[in-house]
Amino acid sequence: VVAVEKNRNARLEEKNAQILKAKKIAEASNRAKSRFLCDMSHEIRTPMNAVIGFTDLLLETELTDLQVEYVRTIQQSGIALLSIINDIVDLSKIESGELDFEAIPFDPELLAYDVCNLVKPKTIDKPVELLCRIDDHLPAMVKGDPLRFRQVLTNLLDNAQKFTDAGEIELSLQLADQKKKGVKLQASIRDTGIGIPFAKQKSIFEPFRQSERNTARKYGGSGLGLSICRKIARMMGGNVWMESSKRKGSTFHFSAWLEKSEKLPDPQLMPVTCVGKRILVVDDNRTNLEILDRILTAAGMVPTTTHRSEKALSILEAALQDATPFQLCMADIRMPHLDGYAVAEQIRSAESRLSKIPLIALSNSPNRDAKRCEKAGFNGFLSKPVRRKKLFQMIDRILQQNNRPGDDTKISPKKIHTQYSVREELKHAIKILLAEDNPVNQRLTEIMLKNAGYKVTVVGDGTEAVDTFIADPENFDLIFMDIQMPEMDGKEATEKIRGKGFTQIPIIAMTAHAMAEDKKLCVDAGMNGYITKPIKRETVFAEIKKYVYRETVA
Amino acid sequence: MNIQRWGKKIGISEKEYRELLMLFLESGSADIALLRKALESGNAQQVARCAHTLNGAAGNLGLDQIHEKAKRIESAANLNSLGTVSEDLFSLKKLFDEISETLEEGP
Repeated sequence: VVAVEKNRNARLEEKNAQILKAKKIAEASNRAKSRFLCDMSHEIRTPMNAVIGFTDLLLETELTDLQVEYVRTIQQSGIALLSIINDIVDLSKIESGELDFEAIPFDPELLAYDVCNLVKPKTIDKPVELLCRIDDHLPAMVKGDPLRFRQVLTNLLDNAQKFTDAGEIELSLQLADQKKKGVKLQASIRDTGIGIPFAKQKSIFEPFRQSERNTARKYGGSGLGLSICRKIARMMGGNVWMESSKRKGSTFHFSAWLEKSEKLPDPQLMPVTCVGKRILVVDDNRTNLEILDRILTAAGMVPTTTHRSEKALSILEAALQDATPFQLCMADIRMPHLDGYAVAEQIRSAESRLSKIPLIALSNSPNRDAKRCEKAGFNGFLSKPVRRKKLFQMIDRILQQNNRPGDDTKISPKKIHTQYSVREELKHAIKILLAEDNPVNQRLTEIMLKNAGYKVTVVGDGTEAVDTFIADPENFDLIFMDIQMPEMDGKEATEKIRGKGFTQIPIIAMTAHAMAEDKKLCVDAGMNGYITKPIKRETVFAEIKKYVYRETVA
Repeated sequence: MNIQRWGKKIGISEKEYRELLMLFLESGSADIALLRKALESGNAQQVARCAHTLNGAAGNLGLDQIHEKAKRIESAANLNSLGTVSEDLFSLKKLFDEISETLEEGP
């Protein structure tokens, strides 16, 4: 009996070993498959970029209408293919455990508005209002991976846009929970689109699934987006889930745990000009009125809102008669019955005590409406969804201009304030130190930055970079540092600067190598971020924005 | 080669792009001279370094052909196989001449 038992045990152990071995092989081959997918996708991406880039150039040549149509189709298909490939790269990275998460400070509010601005152009030709609601308790800074956070938000908001033909889409971002070291943020994306039947609500989170067979045909997409979003969210300690009813649209929720950031933005004092001011807000969308009402009230202003534009003038008149006149009026451009232009014209041709009130236009398509706004008599111009800080900056500027001594009888109608001009002024204040040895790259980066309105100081190697910075540290807001330089390279220069106690100045590496190890070397040396060559305008500006804008503007 | 269009591709004006091309020809010719010298003395490391500089600058200016050639030289030199380098160096030189001809044609 003992012998039989022993024999059986031995056989069992052998089986176990075999199973374990098979499991290891399976896991290894699965990883190899994922890596292969990842590598291949990367290889496909490069020529795809060329295809898309050259169709861009082709579109600038002289083409017949039919040819333009063909080229557009090539381009759109190229972009669609590229986004599918990007999804596959992400999914295979997740499966092979290669998805890295960064831990860098970022401003979640700024990120939310950025995502809105990215998706907004796609809603402009539909009767869809894009709204953004920020929780008053949202931390000004958190630490985590802004790119991944942004990826999930963009995906969900883009979905909402795809499936909503009319009504509104609202992105709200709030603080859901907090612990000693971390904060849990929750974003909810609510739309008034086609909705998702209950039976399909589970399966849409599985890879390659969409709610209907013909969804892909009609709306495009790989069917990978939601499953990637959920995986990323779970890797951030949160989740992605949804509620929906067939007619009322859907709400997708995304939660994630992020670290609290020890880095706090500069304290922003509320402009005194704004406090206690009476402001009339006119917009047909009630959700937006509610959001603006909250923002203005929280900032110490006294807003009154109305969704009936035809009543705007009488409200202003009544307030004047009660000796509690409004100091400013904001009006949406796109409204039924009486649109924003008409409201402005009504006010401007009213009696003299009313007609001088400063007016701010709220618009969905700034480029399209700017000229007409100026003509209709608006003093300022904001694109929706409106960012709190931008709103305050503009109100402050317009009220100050209106109060200027000797100028109080008439508002200068000549120059309309746009977000752009406010932003431009801030840009000029940003000073950048650029360390790069190659004369071509040096000049190219300098031209790009100067054209964009930044102040640039150029140095040719690491030693010069350290000396120039230390001689006048107050004079720089950001450093771009080439990694490979003769004499002293970028890493050493960064270590020197950090070693002298300058821990705050953001230093961005510029490198030809895109490998994770290189990145690690940069981080270890004390750099805040890095961009890979060839240098692209968009990446350079995005990087500047990440480190400098949020401190000056946000 | 349409200078205006290439400048536009990387987001700068024609005038600025011309200036950058001049700079590139100047510094690039020096790099090519260095590269040739390194090739003659069989110094693969130095060949790779020069090719890397060229490759980076050309990439930034959207000069894809030069970028590709320089990249090939760099990879070959990194593998210590300098056999094909002189051929690529020759086509590099020709590409440089093309740019300088285009520049001479003026706007």
